[in-house]
Amino acid sequence: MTRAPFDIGQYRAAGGYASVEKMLKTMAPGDVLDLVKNSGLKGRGGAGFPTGLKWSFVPMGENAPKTKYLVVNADEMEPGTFKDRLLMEGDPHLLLEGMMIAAYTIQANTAYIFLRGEYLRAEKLLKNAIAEAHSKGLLGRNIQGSGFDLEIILHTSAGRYICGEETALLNALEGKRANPRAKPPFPQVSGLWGKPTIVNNVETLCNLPGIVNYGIEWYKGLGLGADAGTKLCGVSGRVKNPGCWELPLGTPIRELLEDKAGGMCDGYELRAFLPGGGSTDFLLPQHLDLTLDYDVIGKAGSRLATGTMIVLDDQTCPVGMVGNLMKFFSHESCGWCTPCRDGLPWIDEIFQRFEKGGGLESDMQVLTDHLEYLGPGRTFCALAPGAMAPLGSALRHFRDDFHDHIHGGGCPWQR
Amino acid sequence: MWTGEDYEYDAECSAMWELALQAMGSSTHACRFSASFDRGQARSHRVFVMTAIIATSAARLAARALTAEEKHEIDHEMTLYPDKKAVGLEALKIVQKHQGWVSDESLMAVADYLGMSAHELDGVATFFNLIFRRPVGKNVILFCDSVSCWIMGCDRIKDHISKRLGIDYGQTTADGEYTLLPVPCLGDCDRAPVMLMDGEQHRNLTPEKIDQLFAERAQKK
Ligand SMILES: Cc1cc2nc3c(=O)[nH]c(=O)nc-3n(C[C@H](O)[C@H](O)[C@H](O)COP(=O)(O)O)c2cc1C
Ligand code: SF4
Ligand code: FES
Repeated sequence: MTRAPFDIGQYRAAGGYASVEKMLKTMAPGDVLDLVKNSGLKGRGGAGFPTGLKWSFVPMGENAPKTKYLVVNADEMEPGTFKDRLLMEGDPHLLLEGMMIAAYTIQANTAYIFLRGEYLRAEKLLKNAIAEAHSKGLLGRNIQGSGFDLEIILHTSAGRYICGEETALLNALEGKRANPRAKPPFPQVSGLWGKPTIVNNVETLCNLPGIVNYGIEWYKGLGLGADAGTKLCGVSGRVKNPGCWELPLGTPIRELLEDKAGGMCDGYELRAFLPGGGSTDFLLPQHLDLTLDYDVIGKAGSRLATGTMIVLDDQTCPVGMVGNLMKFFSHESCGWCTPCRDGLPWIDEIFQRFEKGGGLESDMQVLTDHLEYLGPGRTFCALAPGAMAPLGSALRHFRDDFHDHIHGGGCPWQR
Repeated sequence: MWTGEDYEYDAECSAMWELALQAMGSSTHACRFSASFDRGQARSHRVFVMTAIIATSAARLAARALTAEEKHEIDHEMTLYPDKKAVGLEALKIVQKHQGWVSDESLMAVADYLGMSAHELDGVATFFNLIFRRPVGKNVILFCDSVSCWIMGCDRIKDHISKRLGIDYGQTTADGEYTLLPVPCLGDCDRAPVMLMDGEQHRNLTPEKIDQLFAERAQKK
């Protein structure tokens, strides 16, 4: 991203905020909800949950609580994920426009952007964009004479991956330690300060202006397969042209890796890849012809998740790579529940021994056991099961490499 | 996981630690006071220890007075949230911006100002990687050690920085200029390895680039 983002004048000249004007003039909140529901938009924060369905749980009408909140999850910290930063730095007004649509739909008058503390440039640009929108009467009271009020408040965090988990995020916003909350109650009913709240990812919200402007058929038509719309897709690792592109969902992975990212660097072969950030299962070269669809990748045993792929080449140690991820998850465990708090450091310690020499054959069983102990349903939130995704798939695909570490006195890839 | 490793800690902390231990009726406990920027599992321990430290040394340690500027900025944050307590983290960040780090005296001052207990606020302070409960250098280098940067050889770059500055993670140069800390993925993975210094992201790092960066900085001074 090299050009400066559009200021509000340029943004409006390019058609920016048209969706908000159209919505405020011609649509009731229920109309927008139906539109988003029928568009097929799925959350881009990782879980791929249908956005309209999520919103539909928010109490509406006369008897609904007067105070409701919209919260933007801009805490991007998933290893290997670099898409929300690009959106906020490249087009901050697009996020604000999307937020206005979401807030109007659930009739929230306050919206918080929960921004990762390290994203200093995004902070500056968003602050500026909010002030600009205010000065043009797009935020504040009685926006464009519609009777709808909205304030957008930028909250900057101070670095902790667990804050990206939506209920932990709410605790953090309330000024507490960011441990996740028990669900139910779901945030849509009882969220920030006990009020109905929706939490959406930056990229999810950035899809909304297009949907309101051009409608359901257009949005569905953007996708090439079962899923609607486009997705920011990134590639990092030893490829010729690493980067991030907006691609139609349903694009073959091969196109992303070979056409966009230019294929592997000279002298390197593709060994495996994590399709959507550090919490996804490894896929193999044989999966390159799968398409970037939530269900297609799901059926192959992994997740599209954040859509940012991390490439493992044939000259990088897979055990070391997983060890790096385990260290990250171990550090970032919030410490609330025992399997995760104690299990991840144990796993981390095993990987450190693998690296230095001193790995035991029995460690393999300990790791396998942890896949179950830290698996879905065994821990308080999805951080630990997410950590088990690369671990479990690595144990399946890279058995020989583990064996070499254990019996060869350490990592054979002396870097 | 608490590893029981030895940490260097200054005399004051050590004295407080003794007090805390006495207060807990235990002198055999293996835990030590650690820097809040060691982002390990030591956190829960730290809160426990700090709670005891604060409880026992409250009589000795007085909250400092917040400056007018700090108060002004905290007051502004309060207008953005329905609950005073919610600005705890912002207030800590404000203090850190002005003071460089969050001392016990600062922590207590903020707690007083927000009507919270010091240990409740310290629970927040110690939770976050970027709230420094020990002094740091003028420039904090946040060096990405996550997976894409690791694949692209960040360990080698980190070693180069360490050698050049003579510090490891968690340490500050003797002249107080630099502190080196690891940070999770900085969201720039297509231009790995990456670090954040002086509010600016430095990308596609090589040893030569590092040398050039520090040489330029030395010249500016
Ligand atoms: C440990 C953990 C970290 C997460 N980090 C993020 C994050 O940084 N950004 C994000 O949008 N969602 C993150 N999520 C997912 C959120 O909990 C939530 O599903 C998402 O923000 C919902 O937005 P969406 O429906 O628009 O996708 C994380 C989840 C977990 C369990
Ligand atoms: S799974 Fe880990 S991060 Fe999630 S609540 Fe438990 S300890 Fe915290
Ligand atoms: S892994 Fe280093 S910037 Fe993403």
